[in-house]
Amino acid sequence: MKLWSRWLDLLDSEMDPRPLALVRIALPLCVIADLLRLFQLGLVDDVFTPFTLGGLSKFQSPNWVAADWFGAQASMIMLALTLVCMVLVSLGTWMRPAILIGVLAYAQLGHLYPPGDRAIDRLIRTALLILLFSQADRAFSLRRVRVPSIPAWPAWFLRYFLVLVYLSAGMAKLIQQPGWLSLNADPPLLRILVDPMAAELDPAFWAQFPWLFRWAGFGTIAFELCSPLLLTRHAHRFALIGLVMHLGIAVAMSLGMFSWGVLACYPLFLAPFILRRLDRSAGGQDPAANPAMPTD
Amino acid sequence: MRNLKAIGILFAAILLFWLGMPGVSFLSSNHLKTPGKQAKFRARWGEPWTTISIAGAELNRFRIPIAKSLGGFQPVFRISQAWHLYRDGPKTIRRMEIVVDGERVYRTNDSELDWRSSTFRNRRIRPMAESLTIKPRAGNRKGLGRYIVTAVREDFPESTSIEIRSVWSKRGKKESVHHWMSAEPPTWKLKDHTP
Repeated sequence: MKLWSRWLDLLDSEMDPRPLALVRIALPLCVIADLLRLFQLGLVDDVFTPFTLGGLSKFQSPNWVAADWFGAQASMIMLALTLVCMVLVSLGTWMRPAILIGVLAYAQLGHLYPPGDRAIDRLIRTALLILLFSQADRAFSLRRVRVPSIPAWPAWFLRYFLVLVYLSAGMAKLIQQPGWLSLNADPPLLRILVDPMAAELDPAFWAQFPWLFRWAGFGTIAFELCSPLLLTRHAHRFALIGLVMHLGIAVAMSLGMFSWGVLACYPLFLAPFILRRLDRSAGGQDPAANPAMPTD
Repeated sequence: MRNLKAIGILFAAILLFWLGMPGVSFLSSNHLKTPGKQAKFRARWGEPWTTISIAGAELNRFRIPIAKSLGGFQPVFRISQAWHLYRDGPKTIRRMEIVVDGERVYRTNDSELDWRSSTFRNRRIRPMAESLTIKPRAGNRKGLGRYIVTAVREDFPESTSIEIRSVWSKRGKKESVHHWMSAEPPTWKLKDHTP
């Protein structure tokens, strides 16, 4: 019963709405930038058209059903819906319907072109669906009036989700490729970061420094396996390691919005730093005195 | 109401864990299923890893049918919870090369041969280029091949031959063409080649 009371207390806890609002703004911006990049490269028609009509991918998921409803214009309608809904979510206007419709349309684009719908797309959609249950539109929003605190459980749930992602990634690495912990084997991180198909580093040059990748690999595994620390009061300090890791990935690899999509959720972890900065720039009070701040 | 909400959130948290259970969700349903496979694993890895792995595989076989029935909503949102991310990198260095009239115009991650490199490096196109490079006659090669032929004919209207090569090498070793596709006028139809 004590455990249940603690669970109830956790779900009743409140937080400053701003970190969650920043996530609400940043996640859709990643999707918008990613889709606009396709427009910039002139790839929209090639990517979002079935192979039989001249598109790139021969395979569509059986869950690509928009064509049954909207006919030949289905992909463009889904694309427009995704973009409009993501803008609305980012602005905090009609957040809940926009998330629901936007995620459904975004998923249809993934069903239409499965090769380009990667883990980060799934992660963003899941995170957005968690935001659906939040009051993330209670700050930095065009529509709703800001309130001093909102229920904290959606933020906790999103943090828990990211911990599951990191833990799965770490354990899958370790169990399937013991070389991640080897002092002698070819470092898997070196292989990943010099793979020309996905990475930017020169294989010939960087192969001279295997120790660098070996230790960075140990660090990656340690961060992923220790990710439950992201649920503790030390999350903001521990998340700095994740921040560096994702920035490193963004520089060393060509994974598009991968790093930015994950980092879009980091305001939840880095809230103490961010709120202190926001309060200072607003000339407000010290956030350490703010009981609504999600520091634990 | 408070308790009901708490139960709902707890159920969602357990469901999320069950669908993407860290450490086992990437195992196949046949992993270490037979005594033969278990003996082979034991001979290589010994104990306690064999017992732990068999327990993980059994847990996964118990997990999968429940996850399938509980996670039936996932395709609607395309949010399957399997987070393996980068487990390992390839031992072989592979690159895609595009050759127009015998002259290379594109080579993966080469700043000098960078014709339309922004396109081929884009995160949505890269998986197509990757599968085309890894597998001869990859199931999805034709779409990208067709795109490349069309783009070459736009940018090099006088061209008379196009090759899309998959070049392989081990780190520090000489590279060679593993397989390729070619197209020529008048049909510009793609043909597969292996050495």
